[in-house]
Amino acid sequence: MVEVDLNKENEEEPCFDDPPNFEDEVDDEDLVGDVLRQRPYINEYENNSILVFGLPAVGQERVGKLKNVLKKIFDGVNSANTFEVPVDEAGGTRGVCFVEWPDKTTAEYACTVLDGYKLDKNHTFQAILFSNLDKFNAPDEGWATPTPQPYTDIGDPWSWMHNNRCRDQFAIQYDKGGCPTVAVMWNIKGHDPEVVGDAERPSWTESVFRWTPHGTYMTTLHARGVLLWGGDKFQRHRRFAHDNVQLVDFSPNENFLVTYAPCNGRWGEDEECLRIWDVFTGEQLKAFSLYALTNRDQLPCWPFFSWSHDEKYFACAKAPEKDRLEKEKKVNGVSIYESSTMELLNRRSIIIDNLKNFLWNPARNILAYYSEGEENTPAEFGLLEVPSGLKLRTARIYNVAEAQMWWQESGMRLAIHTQRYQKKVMKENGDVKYIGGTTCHIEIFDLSDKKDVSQMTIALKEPFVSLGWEPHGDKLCVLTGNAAKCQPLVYRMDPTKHAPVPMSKLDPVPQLNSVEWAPAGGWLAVLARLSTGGNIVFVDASGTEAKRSNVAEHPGFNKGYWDPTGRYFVTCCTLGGRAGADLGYRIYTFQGRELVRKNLDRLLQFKWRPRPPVKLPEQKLKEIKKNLKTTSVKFDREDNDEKVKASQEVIDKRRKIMSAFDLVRNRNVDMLKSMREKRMQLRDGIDTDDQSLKDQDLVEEKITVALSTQKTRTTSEGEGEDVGED
Amino acid sequence: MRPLSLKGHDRALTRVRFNREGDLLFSAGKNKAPCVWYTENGERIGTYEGHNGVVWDLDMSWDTKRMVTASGDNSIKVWDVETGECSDTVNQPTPARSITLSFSGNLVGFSTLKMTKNLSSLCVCDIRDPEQMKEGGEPMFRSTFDHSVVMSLFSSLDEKITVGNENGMILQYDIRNSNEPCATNETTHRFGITDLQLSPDGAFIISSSKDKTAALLDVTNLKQLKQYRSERPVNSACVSPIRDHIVLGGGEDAMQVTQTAVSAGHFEAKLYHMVFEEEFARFKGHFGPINTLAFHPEGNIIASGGEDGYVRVQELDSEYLEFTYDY
Repeated sequence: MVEVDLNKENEEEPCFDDPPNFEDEVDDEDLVGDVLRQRPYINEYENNSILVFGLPAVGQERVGKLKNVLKKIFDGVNSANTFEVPVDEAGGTRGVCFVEWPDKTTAEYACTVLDGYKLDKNHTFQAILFSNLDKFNAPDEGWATPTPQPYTDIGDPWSWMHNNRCRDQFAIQYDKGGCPTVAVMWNIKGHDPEVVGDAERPSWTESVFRWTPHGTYMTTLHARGVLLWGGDKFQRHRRFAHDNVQLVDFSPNENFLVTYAPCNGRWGEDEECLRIWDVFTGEQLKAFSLYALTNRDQLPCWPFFSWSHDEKYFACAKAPEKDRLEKEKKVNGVSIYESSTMELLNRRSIIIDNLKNFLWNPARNILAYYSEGEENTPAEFGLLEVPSGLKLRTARIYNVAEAQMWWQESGMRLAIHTQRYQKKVMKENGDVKYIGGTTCHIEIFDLSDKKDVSQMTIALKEPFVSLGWEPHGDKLCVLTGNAAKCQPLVYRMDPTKHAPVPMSKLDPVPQLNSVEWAPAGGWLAVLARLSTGGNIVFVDASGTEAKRSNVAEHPGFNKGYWDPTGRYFVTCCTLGGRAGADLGYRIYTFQGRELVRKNLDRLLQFKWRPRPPVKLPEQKLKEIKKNLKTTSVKFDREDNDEKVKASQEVIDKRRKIMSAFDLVRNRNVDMLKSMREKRMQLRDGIDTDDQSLKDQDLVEEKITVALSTQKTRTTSEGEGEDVGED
Repeated sequence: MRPLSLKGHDRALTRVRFNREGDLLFSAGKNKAPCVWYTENGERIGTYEGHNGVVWDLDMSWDTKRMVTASGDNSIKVWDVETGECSDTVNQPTPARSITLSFSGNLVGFSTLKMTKNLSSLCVCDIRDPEQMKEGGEPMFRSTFDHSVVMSLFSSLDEKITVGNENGMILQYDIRNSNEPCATNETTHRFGITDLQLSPDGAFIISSSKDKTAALLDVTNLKQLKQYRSERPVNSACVSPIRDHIVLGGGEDAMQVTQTAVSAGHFEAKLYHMVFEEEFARFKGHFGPINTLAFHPEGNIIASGGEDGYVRVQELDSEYLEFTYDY
C-alpha cells in the first residue's frame, strides 16, 4: 500500500481548481449567515401583522366610527401600529382587519391579547398571526354542503306519561336465560309487572343503561359510543360516537351529555377523553383533556362536571398547582364553565383555598363549598353566588375532622354535618388520631329569607349516621346512633324559631344507614342497606308528629328508591351488593305493604323512569283537591274492574296451560291403563291400582304405646302396664 | 296435628319413603342403620343393622315385604322388612349411591360411584336369582359411565330404568339393551341431579337438581314438561298423589350453611302448582337443608329428612285440602 502512495506522489501536482459548472455544497447561510439575517426579506411584513376577525360588519357611514373604536383598542396594546380595514364595493366593512406592529414579538403579544377580546355582547375577536395563514390547509376540493340527515320520527317521547291509569315504568337489567337483558316494565298495582311492548331486549347495552334525567330517553352504552332510544316503541333516536366510552352523565334538563372514555396514552395524550354533546342535535360541543383539567390520568370522581340547575354553568375542581419540587398542592379553586360558550367563566377559575368539596344549589345559581381547615386555620363553609362570585354567607369552624353537605331539593336550605375533635395527633405513619373523641353537629343555612342567610346549629348527642331533607317541605330527618341501635330524628324548620323543632323520636332500629324522602314529601323510608336484617322503616311525617307506619324486611338489600310519584318504594339486591343475598327486587306501597317480590338472576340495575317536571297551575291544583272525593270513587271502581279483568285473563291463560298439559297426562295415563293386565301379572295378580280393594285390604290394628310408665304397688297382676293409650 | 319431629339418626338424612299403604315410614341417613317408623304417631319400630357406612338410598317392594339399601360401605343389601334380617348382600367395587325396586319388586336396580379406575356403573339384578345376587355375579343389565350416576329409578314397570348423573344428564334405559339409552335429556338441568321420583299415577318423573330447579318430565321420552324455580339448590321433589301439586325442598349448600342466616338459607319446603309452576305455600321446620321429601299415599302428609338429622312428618291442614286455583 505504501508503495502505491509513493508512486502517486511522484506523478504530478494535482489541480485544485473547481471544475466548470461546479456548485459548492456549502451555501451562503453557513458562510455569511449573520449578514444575511439583516437582509430585508419579502415576508417580514407578514410576521409583524395579525388578522383580526369577528369585527362588526358596518355600513359605509359608520366605518369611521368603527376605526376610532379599533384604534383605541389597538393602541391599548401598543400605540405603534397601523391597521387597515378592508371594505366591500358598497363601502361597508367585512368584519375583518389587518394590523401591523413594529416587530414580531409585539405582534405575537397583540395576538394573545386580542384573541377572545370581547368588544360587546355579540362580538368577540379572533386574532391570528398573518404568517400562520400558510399553515392552513386549502379546503378539500370535493367538499360540498352536507346533506341534511333525514329526521326519524320516534313519536311522542313522553307517551308513557299519558297512561290512562297513570302508571310508572321502570327498567331492569338482569340475566335472562344466560343473556344480559334490559327490560322496561310497567309497574301495575296488584299485578306482576309487565314488559312495555317489545322493550325487553337481550344485550340492549354493552355495559349499563341509564334514563335521561327527565325520563325522555333510554341511554345505552356500546363500544363505539352512546345510543339514545325513545318514543313508545323505544326506537333508536340518536347516537354519539365515542370509542370505548365508559361513563355518561346528563345535565339536569337533559340538554347536554358528558361522556368519558379512558385513554390509552399517558401523560396528557388524552386530547378528547371527556366530551360534551348537545343532546338535541347530536353535535359534539367541546372535548376536554382530562390531564389538562386535573393533572392526572384518572378520574377523581363521576360525574366529573356538576351542572347548575339551569344548565348555564358546569363546574369542576381546579387542577391542583404544583410547588417547586413538582409536588401537588391541595386543590385551591373551582373552574366554572359557561355552557353557552363552553369556555371558562370570566376566563379564570375561582380561587378557594384547600377546597374539599362543592355542591350546586338545585334551584339557584349558588355554589356551596367546603374548604378544609389546616393546622391553625378553621374550615370554611360558604355560599358563592355565580356568576358574580359574591360570598353570600360563610361559616368558619375550628377542629373539623370531617364534613358533608346536603342541599334541600327546593334549594332553600343547606345542611352541613361536621365532626369536630378536641385534639389531633399525627402519627408517624401519617395516620391521624383524634384524642378525646369527636362530637357531631349539624349547621343549617336557611336561604328562604330573601335578604339574609340565617344559620342554625343542632348539636347531636349521638354519633351522626346520615341525613335527608324533605324535597320541598320544611322537614329534616337525621339518623344518629350506632350499628346496634340507630334512631331517626325528624325535625321541622319553624321560621319563628331559632332552631329546628324536633317532631318526634322514633324507636331505634339496628343498622339503619340512609334516609329516602318521598319525592312529594310527607313520607319517608329509613333504610338499613347491606345489613343482615335489611329493615326498611316507613315513616309518616305528613302530620305534626312523625309516626312509624310499617317496618318491612328485605335481607341484604343494597338499594332503595321511591318511584317518581312517591306512590311506591322499591328495594333491590343487585350484583355487587352483599355477598350471598338473593338478587331481586320488592315493591312496596308508600305505607310499606309489600306488593311484588321478584327474584332475578344477576340483577344489575333497577331504575324507575323519571318524570319530567310538570308544574300545574294553582287553579288546577285547587280543582283537583276539591273534586278528590268524586274522582277517588271513580278510581276505586277502575281498580276493581281491573282486578276482575286481570283475574279473568289469568284464568283464561291457566285454562290453556291446563288443557295442553292434560293432553300429555291423559296419553300417559291411558297407556298405563292399557298395561293393566301386565301390571297385575307382575304383582301376583293383585290389582294395586284399584282403590276399592285398598280399603278391604286394611286391617284395623290398635297400637298401644306407653307414653309414661309408673311403678305402683298393686294387689292384682296385669294392671299398671297400659297407662296411656293412643 | 303438630308436625312430628323424629330423631332417630344422629347424622344427616339421605332418604325417606312411605310404603304403599302409607302406614310405615322408612328413613336412611348417613349413620349406619336405616329406621322404620309408624306414620301415625312417629314411634320407631326398629332399625336395620348391618351396614358399615352411610346408607345413601333405600326402597321397598309394593307389598312391604322386602327392602333394599345402597350403602357407602361398597355394598347393597336386601332385607326382610318384618324381621329386620338381611337376606342378601352384594359387595361392589365402589360405594353404591342409589337403589330402586321394580314394579314387581323382583328386580333391583342400583348405581355405584366412579372412583379412581372404577367407572360408575348401573346394574339390574333379579333378586330371585342367587347367581346374580353374589359378588362378581353377572347382573342381567350392566352399563358403565364416565360420570357418576347418583340417582336411579324404575320408571316403567319392570322394563325401563331412568338415571340421573352428577352432570345433570338424565338417561333412560330399556333393561334389555344396555348399550344405549332409549331416551336422554341433557338440557333441563345444568348441574348435578339430586333426586328422581315417579309421580303416583306413573305418568311423570320429577327431577331435582343443584341448579336451583326441579322439573316434571314425561315418563315415556323424558321431555321436560314443567320447570319449578327455587332460590336455592333443590335436593328433592315429589308429586302429590291427590292434587296437581308438587313439593320441593333443599337449601343453601351444606358447605355454606354456617355462613348464612337461617332466614336466608331457604330451608323451607315449598309447594308449587304442578301445572302453573307457581309457588303458593311453604313450610318451615328444618334448620338445615332438606335432603329428601316424600308424599304420603293419602296426600295429606309430607315427610322430610334434613341435613340437621331430623325427619319431620308434616300433616297438611284442611286449609290446604280446600285450597284451589281458579281455572
